[in-house]
Amino acid sequence: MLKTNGLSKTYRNAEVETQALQNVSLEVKEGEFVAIMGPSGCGKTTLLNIMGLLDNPNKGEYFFLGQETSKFNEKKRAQLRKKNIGYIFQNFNLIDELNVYENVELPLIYMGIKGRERKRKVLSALEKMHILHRKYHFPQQLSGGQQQRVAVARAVVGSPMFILADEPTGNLDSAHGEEVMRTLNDLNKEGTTILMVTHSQRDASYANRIIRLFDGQIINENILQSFTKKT
Amino acid sequence: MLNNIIKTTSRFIIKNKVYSIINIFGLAFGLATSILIFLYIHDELSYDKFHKDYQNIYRLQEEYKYSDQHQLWATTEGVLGYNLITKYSDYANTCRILDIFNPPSLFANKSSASERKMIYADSTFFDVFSFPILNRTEGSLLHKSNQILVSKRIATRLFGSTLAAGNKVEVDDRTYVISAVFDDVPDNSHFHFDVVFSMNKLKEEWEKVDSAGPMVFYTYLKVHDASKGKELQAQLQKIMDDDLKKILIEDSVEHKFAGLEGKYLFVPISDIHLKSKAEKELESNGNFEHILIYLTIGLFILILAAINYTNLATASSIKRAKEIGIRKVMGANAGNIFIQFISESFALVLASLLISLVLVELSFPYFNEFAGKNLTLGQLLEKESLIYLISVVIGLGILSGLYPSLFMSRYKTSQVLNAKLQAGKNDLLNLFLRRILVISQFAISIFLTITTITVAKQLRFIQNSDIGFNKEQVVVLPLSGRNSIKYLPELKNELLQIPGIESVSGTSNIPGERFGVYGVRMPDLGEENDQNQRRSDRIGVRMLCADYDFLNAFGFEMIKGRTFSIENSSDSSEAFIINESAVAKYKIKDPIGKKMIFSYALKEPKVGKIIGIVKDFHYASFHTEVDPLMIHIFPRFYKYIIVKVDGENLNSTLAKIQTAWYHHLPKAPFSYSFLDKSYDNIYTNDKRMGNVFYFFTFIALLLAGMGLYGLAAFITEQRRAEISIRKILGASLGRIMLTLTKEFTILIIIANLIAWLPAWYFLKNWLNDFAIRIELGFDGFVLAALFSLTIGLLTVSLKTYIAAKSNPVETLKTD
Repeated sequence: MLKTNGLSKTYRNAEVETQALQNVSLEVKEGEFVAIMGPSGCGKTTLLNIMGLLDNPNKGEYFFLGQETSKFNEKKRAQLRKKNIGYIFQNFNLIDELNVYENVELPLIYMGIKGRERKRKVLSALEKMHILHRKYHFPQQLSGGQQQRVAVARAVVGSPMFILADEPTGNLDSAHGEEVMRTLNDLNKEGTTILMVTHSQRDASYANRIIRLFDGQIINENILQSFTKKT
Repeated sequence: MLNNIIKTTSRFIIKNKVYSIINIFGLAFGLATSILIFLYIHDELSYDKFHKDYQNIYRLQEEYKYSDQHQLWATTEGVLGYNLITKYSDYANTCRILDIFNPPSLFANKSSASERKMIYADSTFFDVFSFPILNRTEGSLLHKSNQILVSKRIATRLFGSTLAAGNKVEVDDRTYVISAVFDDVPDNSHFHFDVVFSMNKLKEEWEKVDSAGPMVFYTYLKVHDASKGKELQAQLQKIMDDDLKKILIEDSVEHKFAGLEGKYLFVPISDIHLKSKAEKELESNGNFEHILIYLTIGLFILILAAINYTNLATASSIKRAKEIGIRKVMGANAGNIFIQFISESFALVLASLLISLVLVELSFPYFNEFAGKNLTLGQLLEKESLIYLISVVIGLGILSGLYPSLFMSRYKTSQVLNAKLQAGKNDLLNLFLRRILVISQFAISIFLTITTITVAKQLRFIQNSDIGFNKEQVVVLPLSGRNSIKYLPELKNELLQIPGIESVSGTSNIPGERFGVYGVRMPDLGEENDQNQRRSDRIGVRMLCADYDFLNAFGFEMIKGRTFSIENSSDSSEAFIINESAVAKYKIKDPIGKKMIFSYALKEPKVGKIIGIVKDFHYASFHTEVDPLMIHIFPRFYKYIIVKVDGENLNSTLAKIQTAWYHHLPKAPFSYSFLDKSYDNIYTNDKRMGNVFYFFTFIALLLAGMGLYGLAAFITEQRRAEISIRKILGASLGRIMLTLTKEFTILIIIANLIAWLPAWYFLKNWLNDFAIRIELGFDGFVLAALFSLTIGLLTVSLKTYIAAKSNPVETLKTD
């Protein structure tokens, strides 16, 4: 479903060259919950950005639903993104000027979904995340946990095949973090493929598989639960 | 989608109040200024276009060049118009107009009306012009010598309604029939009048109307079509060329007219107001150069406002970066983001437009006063104005929104969301561009500041310069018609009895007015040998007709000879005084006692002698050198009574003057003005330009200040982390502010250098238009530099102070 083949990414400043990813090859199958772990600066986010179609690699191939996308321009990537991927960020990334309802509605607008259908989907997503009572509140009026629930609602509202989560509990206390992880776990059980970057061993324990990165390279993979068994 | 964008935008605007106010009001000021300028220019360009087929209407003028002379008059001889009417009607309809020098009063229905503007016109008047007629009698309108046309204003005053055609009015003891009432002449006409007499009436008094004679007729023609016009011009030119050839042959011995060239000019009626600079214009015209200057400034101000928007919008984009990133992750493409921000800029421009309309409406009373107009907001509904508004909104929307929209739509999603955008860090071009914007803003403002300082200096110089006479405490009473002149001696005697009155004199003109040019003969000049060439004995001089006391009353200084004296009874019939310029220009040797002959409109020429030379005084503006002048006693031409008062108990003196006036001139309306005020009117145009510059400079500086504030905000935002680190390492507040303001100082200095040359060039040209002027010194430039630096640094300091004061721990934590 997602497959990388020898991915490399280098960032260049005027004088310094940083190798963020080196020859990374991995595969994520449909229905999997994969966690990527590693120390700061190991290339986790870079990998997530490439696999989330937010960025292109310098070298290597990336197959997204069977299409080789490593040379896709921003426009093509945006097309694929909005149909198939939901994102969750460590710092929630909600738009401050939009209220809860409007934030969740945003991806549906760009997908071109009609008003009435949009409303149904948004309300259902908010209900699922237990945040419906806060739909007219603005992000700054919510707790971190609530904000992340809104972000999750936004990620799932368009029923994407994948959810990419970049340290989803990084800004939350343990109770709220636990809540978000359970939600992701439930989504995964319902069939959504999840790719998550995390520092936390506990969060990673929700995954079927952990990929460890160090200095831009995969150092090992742990299969935590039998994926095949589960499906 | 639109709904969502509107929500985000409006909430962003409300949340970032300072930013939004600067932006919206900056644009609104810019728009309001440009709307005022547009309305002003639109009005100036609309002159005389209300006439039907105005494109075919011309004023016929003659231009002559010979030796070092250049003659361009608005008027022609009567014979030219007469020939056109009688022989060239296949080509054009022609009408002559003669401005009545000393307009009489009208009496009817026990009321009187006295208007300063009356004309004679041929019966073909309405074949050329289309002043709307409101009420008329059957048949011809100006054929009979007792027919008269009056304006709506006069008809209403005398008869209480415009339905006055057929009624009788009395003028100078003669009865006239109103053959038509016309609508008041619109403001945007190059000449105004309230009464039209028939040219046939003038013919009864002066047989030379249709023959060669003085150049006093304004000849207008409406050609049947453009080709007829060209043909007519060619035919007239041929006649003139033949005449000039004859003159040159006759002149081959004396060479009085060496190199004589002549041209018939067909001046389009719609060009007269702004472009004609002929001698003897009917009214003082507008100035096309000023229009161009205003247009440029209007454009400058709009550009300034647009630059501000661009600057602030891109500066604030750091704040919007997250939103853009999220939108992109959620599926928005660059196009969506572009549309969002360009719509936002249009929305802001529209909001600013609404505010600007309020500003325009509020400023009308002041603007109209200093611009001398009657502009209203309703004029914005006219077709041209709507086109202007729409194009300005589109232009401004694109101009100010394009760059920020492109700039923001190109943000990299991954960078914005994860790496925390550091605005412009990798975007040197962006910062460079922003600096260019600030430099251009300041350069424009500095240009305007230098100009303002210099214009103000010149105007002050004019006000304080010695004009060669005392214009204070002089009351001017306009006479009306010949009847008033008849009773002048008695009135003068009575006025002189009033305590507080120092002297009384009749006069044809008051300083500040145009003094007419007349030809006089000096037979001695023709005989004097000057480099073995005979010279013409005719000289052209401006003329002032005045009483004995006139020169004393004003304190004119005599250089040679004497002034008029009541003891010399012959002074009233044979004495002339000329000014220094006349002596110098015509190289008159030993002028006292030289013979002079004046014959304009006289059956018997007035022959006399020069009795004195008066020191040059500025009877016209400082725009021109003092022209040759001839002064003589000639009551027929008196148009005013000049009363010199001592200034004490002025109100009581004025009341007594009024009593005396009605005692002798019961039917003539009494009005008065003060000479110093009316003299100052000659600088109306200059003062107007000065006012426009003061106002625009203020707006430009305001906008530039706002722009700078925007840049300062951007740069301090960008350097927040740096500031904090410097503070943690021990930098003082002053040191940090110095670091931050250094860059702006350099930008403003560059702006100064850029502005200086164009300002110098412009002012040099502007000052050249004054014969008497200040030297263009460095002080204005230095002052503008200091001023711009002060304003700039104050603005920047405000922003940097806040940044430098902030707690470094907070800043670094959020970074």
